[in-house]
Amino acid sequence: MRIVVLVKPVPDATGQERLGPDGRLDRSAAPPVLNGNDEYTLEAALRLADSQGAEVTLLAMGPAGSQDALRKGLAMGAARAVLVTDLALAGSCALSTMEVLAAALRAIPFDLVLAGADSADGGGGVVGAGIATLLDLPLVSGAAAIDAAGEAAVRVRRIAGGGEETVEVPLPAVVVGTQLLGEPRYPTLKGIMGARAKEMAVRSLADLGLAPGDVGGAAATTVVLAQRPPAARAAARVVREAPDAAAREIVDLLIARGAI
Amino acid sequence: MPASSRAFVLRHTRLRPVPGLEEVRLHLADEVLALWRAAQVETGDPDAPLPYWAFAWGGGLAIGRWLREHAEAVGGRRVLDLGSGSGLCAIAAARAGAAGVTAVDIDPFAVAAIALNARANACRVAVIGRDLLDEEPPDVDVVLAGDCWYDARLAGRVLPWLRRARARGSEVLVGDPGRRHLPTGGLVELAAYAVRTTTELEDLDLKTGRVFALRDALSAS
Repeated sequence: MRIVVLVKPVPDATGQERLGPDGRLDRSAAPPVLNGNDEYTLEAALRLADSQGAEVTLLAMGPAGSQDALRKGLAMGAARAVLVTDLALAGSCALSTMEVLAAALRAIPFDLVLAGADSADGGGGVVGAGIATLLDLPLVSGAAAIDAAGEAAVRVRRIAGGGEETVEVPLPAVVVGTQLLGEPRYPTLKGIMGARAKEMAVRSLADLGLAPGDVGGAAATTVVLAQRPPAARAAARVVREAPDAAAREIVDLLIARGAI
Repeated sequence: MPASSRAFVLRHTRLRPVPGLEEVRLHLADEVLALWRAAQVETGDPDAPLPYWAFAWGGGLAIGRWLREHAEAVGGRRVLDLGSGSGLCAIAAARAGAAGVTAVDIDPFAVAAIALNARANACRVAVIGRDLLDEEPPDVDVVLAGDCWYDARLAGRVLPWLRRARARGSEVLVGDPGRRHLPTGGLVELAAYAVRTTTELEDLDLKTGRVFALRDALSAS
């Protein structure tokens, strides 16, 4: 099985995330890291690689300099990475992102595309579904477990409504994952070393047969008009007592504030 | 030691002083990837272990520095160096006056490298080339464990073994440059050193290498 995992390089959440004057994310403010939700789908792909011999390719769209973030995915166990990067892509909206990634996928042989639930920066959560639409592929969202079902299908346990359901989808298909897929593995030292030798292909818009005016910032369908940081919260109070004393103190505190 | 392993080590390394421990000379390599490839070809094993033995790792450098300053910790005592790699910690213990030093490593190239490095430093080091973690810890006075915490599975095997060694009365010294799987409890920090490694191996070429003593079970928390 050939799996492409969509991964997004996002600013490290431990850094200072900020928007530039154009309302776009200032990507120079913090080094890019792999989007957290994408690590869960990558983990699911790597488990299929471990059990089924699947081959895992990372596909990302991001600014030049995103290679270090992708390198972590390679260190975790992906076989290769493809980075679509082009100056014209700055300011891309979700639709542009789907179109670019779909164009990249047309040049990569695959059976299964995995996407994370959403990204830590944009948070749109629509790119996986959009790609399925553009490529006319079946889509399963909310995946909590993904297993091979013979050669040409996967069985997906998904979160639906208040419960779960299990569906089988023929390949090729797009599956959008959740954090229930399982904790992402840490790269081993051997994996980190091995990642240096793995293929990291870089593609421009021209390589994908796309014109700069058709996608990217010039063709953005949404523009950020205003921004507001989240309201500051009062400092948390940490109760450092033994569990029984701490429980009493917390209950007293909640009563004093009228919360219970 | 098979002649082919010894020849392989000699072919791919250069004898040179260890940064920060210049009195010790080791057969060291410059490029990890090229050497790893060569080891894969030599062994016919695409999953060959990394050539840990061809580099002086941060944890081992810290233990080496500490033993230079605290020779009494191993002087006249029987020492075992677990996951010895190049043999750096074993050689540092021998130089500090240990009565007997045994180095353990499962990689045949490491076994060859330890013997070559011991000879290059005029030290006597016995070498065990099997996986000692499957056995009860041997009866020694001090166990050295440099840089054993880079891999979750290995760390999960090493820690109980070291605890058993401690319970049997061995002192256990751990050297570590901040690996993810270093145990969070039961260690007493003895010293910290700025250790120079290489960006071939690490994200930074200057790391903080720490030396810890493993507490005995009664005081572990």
